[in-house]
Amino acid sequence: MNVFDWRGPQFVLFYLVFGVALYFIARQLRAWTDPRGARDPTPNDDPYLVACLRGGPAEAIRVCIVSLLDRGLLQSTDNQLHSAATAARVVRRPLERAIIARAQAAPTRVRDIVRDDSVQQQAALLRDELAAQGFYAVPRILPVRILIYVLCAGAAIWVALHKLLLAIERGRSNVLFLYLMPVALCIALAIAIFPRRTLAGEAHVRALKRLFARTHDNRQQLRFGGQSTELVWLSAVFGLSALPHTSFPEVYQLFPGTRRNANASTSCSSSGCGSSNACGTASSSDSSSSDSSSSCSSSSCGGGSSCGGCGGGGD
Amino acid sequence: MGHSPRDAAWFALLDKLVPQLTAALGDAFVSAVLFGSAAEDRLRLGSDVNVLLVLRRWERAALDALREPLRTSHAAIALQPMFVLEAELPQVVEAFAVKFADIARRHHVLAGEDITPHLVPSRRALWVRCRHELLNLQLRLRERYVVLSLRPEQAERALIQSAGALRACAAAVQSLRGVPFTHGRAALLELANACGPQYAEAAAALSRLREGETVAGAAGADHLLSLSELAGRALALLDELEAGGA
Repeated sequence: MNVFDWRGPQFVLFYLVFGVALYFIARQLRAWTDPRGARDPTPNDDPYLVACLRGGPAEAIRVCIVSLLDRGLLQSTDNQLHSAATAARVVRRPLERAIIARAQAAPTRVRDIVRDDSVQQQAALLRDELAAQGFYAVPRILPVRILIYVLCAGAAIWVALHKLLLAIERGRSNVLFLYLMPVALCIALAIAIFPRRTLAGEAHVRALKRLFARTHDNRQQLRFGGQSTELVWLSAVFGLSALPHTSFPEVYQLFPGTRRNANASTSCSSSGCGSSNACGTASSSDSSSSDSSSSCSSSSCGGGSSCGGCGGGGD
Repeated sequence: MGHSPRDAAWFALLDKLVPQLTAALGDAFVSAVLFGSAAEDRLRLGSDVNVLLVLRRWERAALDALREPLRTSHAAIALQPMFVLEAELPQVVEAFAVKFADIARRHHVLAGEDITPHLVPSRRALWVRCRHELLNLQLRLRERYVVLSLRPEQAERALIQSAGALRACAAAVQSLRGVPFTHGRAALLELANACGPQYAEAAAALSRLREGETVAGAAGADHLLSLSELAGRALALLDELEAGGA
């Protein structure tokens, strides 16, 4: 039984099965060679690090801009950002400081902030930190990934080419599918082998999405005004498109690409869902590929809407 | 015990946080007690994760270092830490007797000493505080009825928001009456049953709402009023206990 002697439809079926198997083999090879990330599924306490993991350094800058807007430390006028006079004294994180410094001199467009050297430098440090944690693909693992790709894509091309030569030899003319199938398979393999995140990074993003499911489900209650940290975490974990358009029209105005996915699911397919073009356009919720009171003072004791009352126990 | 992936992620975060707390606080740390629905493993998506932290003294520097992880945990899992100094505990338990009676009933010691024997309020404090809570509920539910009940969805939200307090009060009332119960929801249902069918229906509707169902049309408004009346009936039961010298 020589599969190369099979007729067109049977061979197409074989190639599909072969392609799926090759895809999973490629992923497995990548899993073996990717650096091990921390097994800890809990978040770093830096939301910008999480944004960078999910969508790259440019995404971290965008999330940071939204966080600063939320806190009133950046203001937006006619799509130009400028920072409040006291902002530089309030912010703590280096990325925030870099953005505030850029916006302090004069009103600045979002894309100019995203392209600013010192801002990009700070965002790149986030990427380096993620790489050190084993979550982000670094140049040193590129040769291994290229080798895996050459082996897998070579196998995909060899099988199709062998069949193609046989078909031509036998005088067949309907061979277009033999050109198209390996091209499609090579693209799929590239997606499987070359994402910016490592498998550990992808698992970490999935774990974060589970952890912040409550924040995501309650997102309609979020409002601008720096009331809580939920907004920055929601943006970091799920992307700017997770912010409700009705409550955050400024975000959609400043990042017009976000609008396209405003109603879309926040999870991504393996083909990736949008990309960041580093010019202030957030086009997706996840631009990386392969990702698929108890206190007596607040709710209870002594407070309350009418006569206070220790609302009685935890929820 | 098997958790859903979401709950597993939540508990993993707690498992990471508690050692951070104990390490940072050193000998100032006495105990961390999980209470509320998380302690019963009955977390819902809208649930808070309540943790009582008992400290020997207020260590500002150590707690400052924990502000970032605690903020993250608050954003992720609605962590609500309650900081109580060990010396304050007796008066805090008495002052917030209904809450602490609830904590004493359903809790899980995450780390440190088991201080739960010290969390049980006196009977008198429970009676006084429960009365206060029930009066508050009565007033609040009336106000919610007038202000919100024209909109069924707002009435539903008001009902859901009142559930925790109602259940804790019902548990306190049943406990003072010497009626056994398994948990707060059962206590409320049993108390409502004892008070009349309209109250039982409202209490059952409250449970259904908490499970994610909706109530039909204007029924939410009726339930708000029924639960306000139920709070009044429970108050009367407490007064009978007082009159009977119980």
